[in-house]
Amino acid sequence: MMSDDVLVRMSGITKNYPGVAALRGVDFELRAGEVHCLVGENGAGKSTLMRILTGAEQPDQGVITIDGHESGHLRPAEAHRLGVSAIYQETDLVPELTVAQNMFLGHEPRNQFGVLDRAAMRREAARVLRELNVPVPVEARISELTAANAQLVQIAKALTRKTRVLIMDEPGAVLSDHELKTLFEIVRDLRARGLGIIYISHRLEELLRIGDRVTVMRDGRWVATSNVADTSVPEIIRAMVGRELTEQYHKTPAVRDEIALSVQGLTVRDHFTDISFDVRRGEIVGLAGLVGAGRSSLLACLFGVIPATSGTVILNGEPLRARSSVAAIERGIGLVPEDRRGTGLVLSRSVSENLMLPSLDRLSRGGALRQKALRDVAKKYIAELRVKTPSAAQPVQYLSGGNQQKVVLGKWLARGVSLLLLDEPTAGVDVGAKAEIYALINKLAAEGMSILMASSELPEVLGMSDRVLVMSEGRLTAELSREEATQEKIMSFAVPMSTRSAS
Amino acid sequence: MNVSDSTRTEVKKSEQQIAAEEPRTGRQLPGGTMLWVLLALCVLAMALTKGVFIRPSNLTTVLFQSSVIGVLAIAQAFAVLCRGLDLSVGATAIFSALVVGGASSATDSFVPHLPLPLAILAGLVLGLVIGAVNGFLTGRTPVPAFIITLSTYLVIVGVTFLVTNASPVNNPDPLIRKFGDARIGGLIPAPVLAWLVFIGIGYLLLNKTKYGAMLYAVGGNETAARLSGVRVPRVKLLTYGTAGVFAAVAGILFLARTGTVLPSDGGSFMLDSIAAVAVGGISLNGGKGRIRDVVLGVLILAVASNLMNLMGVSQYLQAAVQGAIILVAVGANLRLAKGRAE
Amino acid sequence: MSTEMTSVSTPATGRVGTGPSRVWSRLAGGLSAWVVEGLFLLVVLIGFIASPQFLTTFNVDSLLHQAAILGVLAVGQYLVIISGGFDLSVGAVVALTGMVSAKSVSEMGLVSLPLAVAAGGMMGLLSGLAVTFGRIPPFVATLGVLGIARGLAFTVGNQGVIITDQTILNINEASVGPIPLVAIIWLIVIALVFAFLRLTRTGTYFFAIGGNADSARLAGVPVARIRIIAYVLSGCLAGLAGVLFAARSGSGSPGIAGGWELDSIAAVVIGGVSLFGGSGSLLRAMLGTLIYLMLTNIMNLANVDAYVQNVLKGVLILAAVTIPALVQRRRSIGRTSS
Repeated sequence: MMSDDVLVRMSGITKNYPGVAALRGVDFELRAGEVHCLVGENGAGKSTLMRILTGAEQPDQGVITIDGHESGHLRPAEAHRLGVSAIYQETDLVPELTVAQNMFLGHEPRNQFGVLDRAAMRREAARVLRELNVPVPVEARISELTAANAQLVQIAKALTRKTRVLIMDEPGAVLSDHELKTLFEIVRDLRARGLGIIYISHRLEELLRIGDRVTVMRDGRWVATSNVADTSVPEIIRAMVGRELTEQYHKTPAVRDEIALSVQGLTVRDHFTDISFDVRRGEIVGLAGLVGAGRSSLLACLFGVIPATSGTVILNGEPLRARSSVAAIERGIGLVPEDRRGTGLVLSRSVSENLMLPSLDRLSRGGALRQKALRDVAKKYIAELRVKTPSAAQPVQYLSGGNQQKVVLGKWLARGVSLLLLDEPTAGVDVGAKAEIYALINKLAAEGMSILMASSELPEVLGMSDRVLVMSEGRLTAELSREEATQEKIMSFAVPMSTRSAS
Repeated sequence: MNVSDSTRTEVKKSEQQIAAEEPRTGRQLPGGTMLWVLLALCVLAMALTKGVFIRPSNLTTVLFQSSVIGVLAIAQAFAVLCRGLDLSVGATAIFSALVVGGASSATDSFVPHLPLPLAILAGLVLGLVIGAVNGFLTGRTPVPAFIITLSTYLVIVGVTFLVTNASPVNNPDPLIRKFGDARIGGLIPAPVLAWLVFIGIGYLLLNKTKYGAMLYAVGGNETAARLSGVRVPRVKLLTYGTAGVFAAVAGILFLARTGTVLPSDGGSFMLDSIAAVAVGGISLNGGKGRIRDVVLGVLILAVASNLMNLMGVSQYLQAAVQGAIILVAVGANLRLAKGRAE
Repeated sequence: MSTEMTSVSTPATGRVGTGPSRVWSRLAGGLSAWVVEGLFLLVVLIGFIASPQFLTTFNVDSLLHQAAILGVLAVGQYLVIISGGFDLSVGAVVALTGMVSAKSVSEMGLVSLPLAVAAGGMMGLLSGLAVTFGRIPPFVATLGVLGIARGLAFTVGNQGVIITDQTILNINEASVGPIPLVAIIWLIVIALVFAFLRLTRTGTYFFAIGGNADSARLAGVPVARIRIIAYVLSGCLAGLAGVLFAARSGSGSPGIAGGWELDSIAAVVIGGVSLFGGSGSLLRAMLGTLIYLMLTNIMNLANVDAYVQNVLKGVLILAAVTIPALVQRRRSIGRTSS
């Protein structure tokens, strides 16, 4: 089935973002008629690599050869022309247009008068859908379809163009087991037609069922490529996590007996189900899991951003019914969100203003700001957190990622919280600042603050946590003590099992 | 603007943000670009009018004429800094002017007679109420602010004509006229002084109060503000409420300056106020800009208009020029901001 | 919608969901499909009951004359809104083009008609360029163009211009059988735009860029060009409306049509078109125009004071834009956290 003609060859691909090396000399190869799986933890560089292949981003170094056509700076139009199509988890369809219109968006058939040939469009669309065995009416609007069918329409859309390379990013995530089978049949059919398919998924078992070869990436590097037949899930997991634990965590356990946060049967429909756990005073609880496992939603729910469907939360002995972030903050909770720039900071405002934002009430008297107190507090936290900024008046958008994150943490220190929720606290932060942030988190815990930390970086979870909770597909799948937890163990609980997905 | 746009632009956003992380380049002029634009414009005006422009009488006229728009532009700035827009400020100003003029008038009018302080208070409360309605709707519904305030604008104009029966208010309390004509130190018109006072109040509100800090935060990033414990709807209520009061003050100054107010007056107020804010360089994306920018914007437009007057350009063409100025100013400011970030 | 907490990862279950949110969305979707038609019939019924004059030939004729003008304007506004923008300049463009046609008709005859349409198109082009290349938010850009158009209208003539040329006045007075010519012009515009949207590529792209500009761009849709076309068309149609209004009033006047931008937005929104772009039917938007005008008409017939009418209109518009927006938010709660 698999031929040896190489369809895509990417060699020495390097891509740097300010402060972060997203890809470091990655080699990747796709043959015609194969399903090539691409796996790696969040942030391993899979998406960036694929964005480069579709021309959405240009590499700093490296060469891409598609079908013998060589290029260092692939543009989207060129990638299109060479037959590269991508299907993302979040559908790329226009909700208010029909299936047929979406399938032909950008290359609508026209008759000799230049008028849109709707009949031909419908006919062609119906033919492609029929070939794929997708029972969707061509005149239906995308907004009326189920997510699964929308996904299939995306595949059909790719086939209306001359597609040779099909990138599928987590196509199984929204599908039930039955729908997944349909998808696999389609994928096998496409493979038989000689397409090269790049299949990205976190569900390793899924990969074993559909893939021919698998490439593992980690920290922006290529790790291994092997035939699926010659490998196993534990082996892949080992390759994914094989990162060395560095000595940047100076953990001094400070857990006290007192329970600060107690969560019982917490559920948010469509996000996570029946989550129960405790956090003690001075304890750092790590929350591990893959993208979409429900970690961020859990934090958002505790912070009052998403209303809980059912379950109880007890904070410091009293029930917590936060219906807004304002209420949660008043109960002494702080959130350091994952999207620091989008939701953590007001980028256009100064370091000092961002630091003060949650504490304005106590830093003002009768509505008037207490200028001296403001200055003192700003000075104190800039010094204490070692925020590198020319002045307190500098807009935070000009700070580096690490210093921005220190400002976000500083907000909650200035406010004084008893429970701190951290969502990917060191994402996009350089190594030096990371160590400082870790030290700070440890210090806070030592002072009696309780910390719930969601993180995709396993060494970080292992290095920082007193206890590790693992989530997968909206459920708590494991609770591991610091001693029990290893990267392999966490990953094996975090990886969703295709068999479980049927529920 | 567009919902589905905003949910899909993460990738682009991150690119911009990465760009924004680069350190600030030192390409800024001391005191900001707009100060130099104003100075250049003044020099140009002096040259073109052979010195007429610089005469004290002309300069005080320029200031006198900008006092109303000056206060109105501050009202507009509050809304814009909060990432909104208030298209109802002009109508609010005129309505308040009519109420104050009518209530303080010795002759019969559409409102019962009130002593002057109470009449003024009534005008201010009216502005506050209108602003509160705008603020409530902006804070509690996802409808864009410009649509909401455009609708309330229509309602205010309707109510204004309805209650006044389209007739003007001619003789307010003589004290109001006296105030309008007064010259402090024989030179500075009292309305200009009032403008200065309200510049000061605006400055204090934005920079020295809790609420000002929250307003900037909401304008800069509503989600981040909410996640930091800011009650966003309340901030919007206060913002538009303040804008309403400032608009009412502008209306009262207008009454003092002219002595007569028609319900149909103030047709250019809305556009003038937006033009001043935009020309001053306040970001229409909210969260960025200072009171001094508004003042500069007002002065630049006033000098430009004075220059056109002295050179005999027709009033109407001036309106067109103003529309063009908005486009050029906003476009240029966006480019400048972008250039600085990259 | 920028209020969503974007960091919360939402499993893409929005459309597979089976909970009450889905039911609600079905309900709201199903309702809005018929609500416009129902409202239309209801308003006709109210008019019929409230006033014996409502369904007289004379009244229907005058309604159609008004509907033709606002309708043409609303078609333009519709095109801009579905592609994700707003056009606040249309009222001022009506005034400008009315002046242009009134001034030029005595010398140029019917050439003044395309001239006025072209003038409107120029204003639209300006808006389009400001929005795309200037990257200015649509409401500010078109507000600036509003100022320019209004200023130019007064520059063309600061007094009204009486039209004596019979050819242009005939546009208003002529009729084909019982149907006034202006209504036929309106219908032709609707038919052309309808065909344009359904039968051409560009037409499809209007919805695509309003619904999801990024995926449209990825699919190779020239987003900027389509936006500009939308504004130019809106400008041209405002120009046509300007001529029709000049013919109706027998004069051009630089100060008229203030607030018409809001009228046109209201008409479109009452017709069930989403203010956020990407969805809505042209024919319903036209029904919306009729509903809006009939309500005014009924108030006239019921001798409601003109000023009270303005107030009620403002309230009506506010309700028309706020309620659908709130329903939409209700619907989206299931998939996003707000």
